[in-house]
Amino acid sequence: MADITETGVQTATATNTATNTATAAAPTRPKKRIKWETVGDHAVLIAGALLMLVPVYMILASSTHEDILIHREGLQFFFGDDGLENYNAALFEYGGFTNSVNGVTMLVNSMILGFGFAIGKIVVGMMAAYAIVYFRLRFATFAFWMIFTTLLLPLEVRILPSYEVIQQMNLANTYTGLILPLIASATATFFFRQFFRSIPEELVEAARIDGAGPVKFFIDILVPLSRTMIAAMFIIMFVFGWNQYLWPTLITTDESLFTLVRGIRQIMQAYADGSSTPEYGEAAALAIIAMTPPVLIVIFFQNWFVKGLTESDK
Amino acid sequence: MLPYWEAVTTEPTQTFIGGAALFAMSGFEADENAATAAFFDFLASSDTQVLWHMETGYVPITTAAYEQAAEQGHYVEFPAAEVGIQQLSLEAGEWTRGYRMGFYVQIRDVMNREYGRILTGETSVDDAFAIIEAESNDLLARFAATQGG
Amino acid sequence: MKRAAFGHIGFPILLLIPQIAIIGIFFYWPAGYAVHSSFFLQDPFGFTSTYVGMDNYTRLATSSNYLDAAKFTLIFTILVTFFALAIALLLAVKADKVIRGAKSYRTLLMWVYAIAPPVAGLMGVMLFDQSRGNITQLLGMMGIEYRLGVNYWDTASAMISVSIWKQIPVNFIFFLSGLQAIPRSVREAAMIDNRSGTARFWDITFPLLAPTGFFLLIINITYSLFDTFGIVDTIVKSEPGNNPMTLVYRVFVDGFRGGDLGGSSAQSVVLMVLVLVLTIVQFRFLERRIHYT
Repeated sequence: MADITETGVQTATATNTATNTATAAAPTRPKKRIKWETVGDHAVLIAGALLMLVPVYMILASSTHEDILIHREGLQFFFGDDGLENYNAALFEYGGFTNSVNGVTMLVNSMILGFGFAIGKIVVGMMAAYAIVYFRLRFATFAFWMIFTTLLLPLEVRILPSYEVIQQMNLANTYTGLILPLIASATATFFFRQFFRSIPEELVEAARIDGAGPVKFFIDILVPLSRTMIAAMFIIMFVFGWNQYLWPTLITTDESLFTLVRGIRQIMQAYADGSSTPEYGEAAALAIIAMTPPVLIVIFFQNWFVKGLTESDK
Repeated sequence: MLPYWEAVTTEPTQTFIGGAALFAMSGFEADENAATAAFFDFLASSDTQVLWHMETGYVPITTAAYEQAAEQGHYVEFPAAEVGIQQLSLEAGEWTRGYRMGFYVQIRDVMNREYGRILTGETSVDDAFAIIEAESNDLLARFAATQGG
Repeated sequence: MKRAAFGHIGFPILLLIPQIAIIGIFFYWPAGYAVHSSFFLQDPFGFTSTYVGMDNYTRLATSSNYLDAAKFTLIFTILVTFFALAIALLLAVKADKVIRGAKSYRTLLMWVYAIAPPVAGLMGVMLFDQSRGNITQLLGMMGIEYRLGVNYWDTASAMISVSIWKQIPVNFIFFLSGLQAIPRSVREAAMIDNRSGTARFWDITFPLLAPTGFFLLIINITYSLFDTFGIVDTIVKSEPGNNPMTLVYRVFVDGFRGGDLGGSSAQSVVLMVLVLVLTIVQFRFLERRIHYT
């Protein structure tokens, strides 16, 4: 059963295996009881899937209605006719206090944050992990502990001091100030360290006999070997970076640097303000735009994603 | 009472409060200070003040702007807009000196919290204000400590 | 450390420089800065700074605001962790069992992982809105008056529900991969020994899942403490008022909005110690667990 979920074979094979497993596992059990149990299992799973799906579906449906309808009746279950208008407003209409930001600007900023964070973290992490695993360093233990202590404390616990430091370095309202402090944690380093340690030692010995130096070994052998791991890490890090909220809220006050997730905060403030009907339709559209890229990545690359997630944290 | 220039007036009237205060901090280059001053001049100019006054309801900060708004007939159309200006032009008294309050943000949070609790019936008005007073005094004492008090 | 290591000295140092520089500047400096400023009292405009010793800490211990936030954070963490784990475990066990559509279920149950906490919070605000929220209307039909943002526990329940919802996918993924790692031979032996599915689960599967479960427990506690910031902030619409607040949110409110660097830093240090303790517990326990299984 485990293998089926892992590789996702076609239904035909799945059914086939199902019969085998059922007969092999519980040969004496009456057929009918098994069936009812299976129905129950599916019912639980469908309920769970609906729990995950319905709220997002309602936001999606509501993003195609006009504000006043949502203001009167709440989120909608069916699609309306104002989708084009709402998405157009969410993407292209300039807003904010300075009129310098629209959905596309925020989308680009989210991309920069997602890619910058993921690539930065992977490059820095792989280099450090390579140094720690493959070289004899006198201060290796010290470096190891210095790096891995960062796993313990998330950015959230030291936001204000981090903000002060960024302020002193004149990095507020820059992409550098936005991305670098988020990279200051060793998750990727730890992940690659684990992976490098699982690579057979014969490989590096063979490479040395062939006369490959450390640079050549890293680029020609280790990086290609790590392709799947890099992909897995990239997906997790991209989603993590894209979804950052607290740090961008602090560090970007310049609206032209807002990310989509940061933009949600502006929506909430308009909502709390209450002086006019909040733009629900546009807000729902923006929420959908903010979640689509990471959701698609997770769905399409789910095997890599699951692998990266379950192996990085062990 | 806020500091004032005797060159401008020797008899200050009511002070201003709430959202209208701009400060120029020390420790900047002369050209930056000049830019700040030019910006303040721009903000204080009658045209800017009249626009700000009419669009937002904030009171104008100069009598010239007030008179210009009056000339344009603003108070004929919106008589209520003049009341605040008239009140602020009254003579000063013992209790009209405004306040300087550190940790005001936290104090406002305490007030908001207690107002909320009053509205939900979790507490009585008297209890709520007793708490506001106690917690605000505590925060003010903390602010006083930052000023070497 | 690999036996067949390279002997160079300069090159590995070069490789380590970016990592060390980044964590030095953006981790150790701020962390040290937090510890340092927690012993000082700064005025809100940042002009003066006075050494006050442990004052900021004793203040926390006596502040009813802070203790309320601590109490709420504890309740919040327990509820979110428990329900997010329990629901995910149930779903994972079922998803591991069914044959038909297993892959589809996996996808359907994990994709919410990619939704940012504040986006989830925004959805929560719309669903639980005091006057037009669909859930509010539903509760109203059942005769329950639900007032988000006004009633403390009504707001709390919205925060907790959204936080659980957002955390189910991660737990599900880990539990499912934990279940799939249980060898077929063990399962088959269990099938023969024990007919009842429930008993089989508690006797065989649950203990085998314990390491995963314990690991997830720590992950969920850290999630509840820190990652829920976006959910809390959106649900209170950035104006806490008389609504509940988590400890991290307090750090933000006091430090960033209120300009109390010393007080906020002391809170940061308290959280750092908390996480450190949690991690030590994790290492201790995990090691023992690994030997045990």
